[in-house]
Amino acid sequence: MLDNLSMLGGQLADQANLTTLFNVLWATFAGIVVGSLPGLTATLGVALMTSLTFSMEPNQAIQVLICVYVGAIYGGSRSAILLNIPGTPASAASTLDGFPLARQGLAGRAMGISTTGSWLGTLTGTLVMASLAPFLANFALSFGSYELFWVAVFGIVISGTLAGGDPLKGYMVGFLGLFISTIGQDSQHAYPRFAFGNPDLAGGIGLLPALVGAFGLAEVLTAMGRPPVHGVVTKVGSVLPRPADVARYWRTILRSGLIGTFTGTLPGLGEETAAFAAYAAARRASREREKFGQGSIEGLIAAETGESACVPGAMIPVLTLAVPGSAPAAVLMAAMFIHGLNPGPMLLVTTPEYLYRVVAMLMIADMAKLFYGFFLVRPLLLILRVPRERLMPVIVLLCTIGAYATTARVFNIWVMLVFGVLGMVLRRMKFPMAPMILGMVLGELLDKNLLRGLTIANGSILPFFTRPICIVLACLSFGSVIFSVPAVSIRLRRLVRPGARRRAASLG
Amino acid sequence: MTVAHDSPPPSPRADLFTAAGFLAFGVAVIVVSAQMPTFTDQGTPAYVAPGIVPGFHGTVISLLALVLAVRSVLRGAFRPMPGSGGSARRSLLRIALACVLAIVFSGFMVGRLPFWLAAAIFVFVFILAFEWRPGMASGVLARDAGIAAAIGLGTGWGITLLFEHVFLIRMP
Repeated sequence: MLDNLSMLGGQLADQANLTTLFNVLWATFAGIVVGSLPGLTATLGVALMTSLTFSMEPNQAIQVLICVYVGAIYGGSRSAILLNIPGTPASAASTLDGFPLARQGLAGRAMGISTTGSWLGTLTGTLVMASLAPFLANFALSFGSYELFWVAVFGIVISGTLAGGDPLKGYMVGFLGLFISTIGQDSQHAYPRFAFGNPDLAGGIGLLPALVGAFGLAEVLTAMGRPPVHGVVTKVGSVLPRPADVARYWRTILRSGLIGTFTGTLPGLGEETAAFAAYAAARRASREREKFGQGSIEGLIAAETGESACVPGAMIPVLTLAVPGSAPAAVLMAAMFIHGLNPGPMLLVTTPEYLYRVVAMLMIADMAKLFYGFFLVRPLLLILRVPRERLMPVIVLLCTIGAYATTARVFNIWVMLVFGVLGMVLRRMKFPMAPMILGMVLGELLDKNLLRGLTIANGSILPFFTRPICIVLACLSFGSVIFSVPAVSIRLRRLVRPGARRRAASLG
Repeated sequence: MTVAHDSPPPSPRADLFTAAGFLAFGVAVIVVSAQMPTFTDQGTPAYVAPGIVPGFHGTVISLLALVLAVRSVLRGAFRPMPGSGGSARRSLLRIALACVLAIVFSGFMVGRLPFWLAAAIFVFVFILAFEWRPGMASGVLARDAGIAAAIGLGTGWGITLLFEHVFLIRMP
């Protein structure tokens, strides 16, 4: 315990320099601006910044990306409260009570409480991460090829089931992502799969240009199809939070922080699910249930705490298993690989202090967010008033540079364009994007471990179904697929309800 | 996580077309995977052939597409549908316009023109195309064109300078 605290102290001291301070300030600001602008997501912000920080020193680059991630998730609440439009999907739950509060003339109080909730949420998640990650990493060391194969399958399935909308469509794009990851030379024979003689395709589809397209260009195209936004709330008032609000709702804050962190650890669910899960739990437990949706301080604080706690939560599986908990975490993981860090079970064996470096980075980003939350309200109002027609072409420019920057290949600009158009079409048809990205990230893990496992077992698939962890992961994967079939879930609920009624009757 | 919240759900017929697209894609993946060499003549076992994993993914995509197709038929894909309204058509036109402009800029102008110039032209045309309204007074149009040109030149020059000199990125 003392060792861990001293490692954390050492990392905090290591980060305390002017370069880091400068990078933290501009990156958090950039993240908040990206998050607050409807149509731009945290994933886009982190993906763009990964390309742009390519030439930076690795620690500074990862610090910048964490600041953008933390800032963007928080920034979404600004437009959720002031415009009734979530800046990022993660802030959708904040519109439920944030905008009604703003319409009651309490925009300042709503923004203050959202800042406090968000700050406490990230802090809770970071503390949980610092305490749990070493144990999880130790546990993950016992994973072999068979287990890692099932981790990849479970990630796709759970993401498809719960990422929002239709599970069937979630699975379809999840497998589409897995397929995309197979394009290019295979690991066993270096055979160029689906290259059709094109040397660029033989090199594979880069995750970053695909992400910039699917989350950047697709968002721009989708946003341009929407009617213009009107009605920015301009009277804000004081944004300083009331300590009484925090003291009164401490249980909600703690519960939402833990729910957010736990949701973050599940592959592919992300901040939106975390916010709604925390909001729903707060509503169930609240004595002021009727105020939810009408401008409830408790509802807003629950949503904000949940979504912000998800950020460190999503980093836990990145660092311990190399499996991202959310789409922005997937990009962050890709950035870690680009900068020569190898997240996964071995990271905490080879460089145990790195976990505490990430913890220190999250804490610093959280503090910068708190600073801007109280002092960056009025400049943000000006940014929110920029018409979409004038902002979106600039985003297209950034997407083009972002796709090109890491490898200086024009081919990647075309990848960005194809994924942008494909992402827009799939979005209009209500296909969630998170499973596709997760598929692309986990594809290599699945492919490599399936082939390695088969080779070790001499072609037998039995070890994939007989080892204890494999059995658990396989049951969870098949169970969530079966339970997502509407006819099955309705029948199961009917089976469960009479039992519950009988138990309730016998109790009293 | 990123499902759009503000557009209506697709009709069963639209789902049927999507399913057909995915089915065709899945079948194509299976066919191409089956044509890949197995390298068994070099002594490697057949289960590590390069086509096995993508072939499996193609099979799953095809099966899921079939389920989506059957579901959309059961939900009335062949029943008569109401025509899309004027606002839906306008929305599609705006998306198509943004799409064409983005493809022309990123796909054909970048790399052929200096980046700052390509960016300035793109931003100018994009803003003007979306701010133009039929019957706009010429004075307003001239003012909007002036603003668009200023934003275009400022953005093109500023972004080029920032990325080349601060982020040290070689521009396309």
